[in-house]
Amino acid sequence: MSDVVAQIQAALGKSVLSVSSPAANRWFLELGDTSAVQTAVEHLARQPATRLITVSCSDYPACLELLYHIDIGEGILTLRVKVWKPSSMNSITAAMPAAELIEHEITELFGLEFTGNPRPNNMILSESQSQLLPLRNRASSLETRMDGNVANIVEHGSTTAPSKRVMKSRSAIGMPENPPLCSVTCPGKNIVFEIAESSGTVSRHPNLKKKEGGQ
Amino acid sequence: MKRYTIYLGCMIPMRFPSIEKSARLVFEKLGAKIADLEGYTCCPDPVLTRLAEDEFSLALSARNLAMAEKMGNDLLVLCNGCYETLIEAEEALRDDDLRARVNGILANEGTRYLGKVKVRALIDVLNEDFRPGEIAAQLKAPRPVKVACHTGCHMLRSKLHPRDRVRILEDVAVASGAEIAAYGKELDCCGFPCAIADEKMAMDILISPKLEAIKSSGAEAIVTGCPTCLYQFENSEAALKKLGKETDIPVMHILELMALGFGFSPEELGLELHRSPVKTFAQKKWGDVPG
Amino acid sequence: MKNPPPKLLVFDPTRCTACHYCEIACSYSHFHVIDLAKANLHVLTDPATGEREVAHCLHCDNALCLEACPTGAIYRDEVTKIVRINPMKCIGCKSCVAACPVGAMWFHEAEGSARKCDLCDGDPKCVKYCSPGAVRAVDRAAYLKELEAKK
Repeated sequence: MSDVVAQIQAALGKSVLSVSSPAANRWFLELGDTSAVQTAVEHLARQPATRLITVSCSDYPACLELLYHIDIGEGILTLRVKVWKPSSMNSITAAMPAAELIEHEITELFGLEFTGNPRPNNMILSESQSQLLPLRNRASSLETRMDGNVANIVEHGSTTAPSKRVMKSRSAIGMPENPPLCSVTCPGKNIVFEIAESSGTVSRHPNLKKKEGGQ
Repeated sequence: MKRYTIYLGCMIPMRFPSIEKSARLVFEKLGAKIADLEGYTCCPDPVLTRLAEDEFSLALSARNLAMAEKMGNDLLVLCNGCYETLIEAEEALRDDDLRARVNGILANEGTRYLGKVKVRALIDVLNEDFRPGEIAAQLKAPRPVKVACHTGCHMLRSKLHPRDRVRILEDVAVASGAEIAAYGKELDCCGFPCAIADEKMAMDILISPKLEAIKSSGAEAIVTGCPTCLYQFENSEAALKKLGKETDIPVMHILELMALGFGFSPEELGLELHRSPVKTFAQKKWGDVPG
Repeated sequence: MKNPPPKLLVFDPTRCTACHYCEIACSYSHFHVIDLAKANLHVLTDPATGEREVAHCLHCDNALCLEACPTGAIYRDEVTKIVRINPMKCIGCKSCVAACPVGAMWFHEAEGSARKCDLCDGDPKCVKYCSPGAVRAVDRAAYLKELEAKK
């Protein structure tokens, strides 16, 4: 195991969903949230002999998967992360200026916005074509807003705890901080996700599984 | 003694705990026993989730129904959206084949729904089981506030014509001591779904005309039976304020109006999480109640 | 149900709350997006009077869109009476959009094809998600007969 990879893994903690190394000088880190990419890249930019090779992107029904391929001297490290549609991604140009062109290319070809990318105009498509998104998968629907993400939406709408402010208000009027939701009565058990899995939602959208961290 | 299993949904306990508190106090006063549905999940959303993932949605609803079935009482649903989801799931699951298929999905959970639960909406329970008379009998602090009633679209799913259906909420409000301000747009939607798709259109054709009609009817408060409509009204008022159109009519839930009328003090209910001036309004009208 | 009787959408303005869930359900079930511009039916509100009407396809017996189409892309399914569009044959001339008297036909720029209501192949989503029951699907033949009798 490379020192650099181990350091990043330690710095990101739970954000790292999996680590694999199919060859002696090749590593894949799968990240659970998009902000972890920022942290990892900032750390890598401080290392000597680090170079961004490219960023690749692929389209799934519910998300876009980004792969940041980075030369770390002793081999190549790839950071994989899923961006749930229709959200945006933070640009890494501040830490690695070479990302400017490739990020903008992904914006044009896949329609994923990178906030903080300084490039103003299209490079490949004309302005009138900017809604074309040529590399989006037609079969997975150009304009998916919620497909496959349903279990996550339901999960966050219903089984997470109330905000601190609401909890405070609840206990101030003599009620328990949490309502009797499944997340409270069955801790450690994600019932919404389990039902999503049994109903086949997850197998239709395999990327859901990774997001929840279960296998 | 009347017994109910209560389904709170997400909006009420997570955003408006004052409604949950009011429900507990009001039903206790009315002599009914409320049991919590321990370990419930999202209902889920009556339109979007069902459009996107039909079987998954039905399975989630079935799990909630199965738990309620085990408890034996009628399932009293406080939220309009949850009511429509659960009653439609209940009706769909009367079909033996569909129920068997959904129970197959739930088998891993060890849950099984037999199709024997009665799903009831809050306003139906208040109107049918308690009758306005029983509610009026509990009034300790009746205040003749003039209110504009808004029933909410999901509650209109009934055998009655919508224009008769909206009278039920008005009857309950009158029984709770209020006077009704007729504003002519009782049926209009609060604009929540439309605003998801097109905020400006929702503002132009629904929210602005509705709030203006309410304002000119002389209503002192808006009373609704739906937490999502309540949320939408309060947010719309804030949005209108930004546009320079001053609207600060307090928007309250029917249960909050009842709890105040039953003599519970505004402080006991914890009304401070409302974005509209409900707390100030309640203190002005019911501030002298000892609590 | 192998061959359900042909249906027709009817609208009752006295029940409509203008929640637009019909349009949301329509655009979501056809295009997986919440976009009222991509719905096959539209709830229209007169801002002056607050009166409501819904513009939706009637699957006319003498369909003008079908007559107007130069390539035969629009055809009638004789079993269900649904007037459909074959997007592979559509050349994007928009004659049908101009011809439709109720404005039910629209043009999807990205697809390069005309679009309209297809009654969700007999199970209209707008009806399923209309809580107040303002949009209903009725038996086409019986309803038209009833209208004829009223004349």
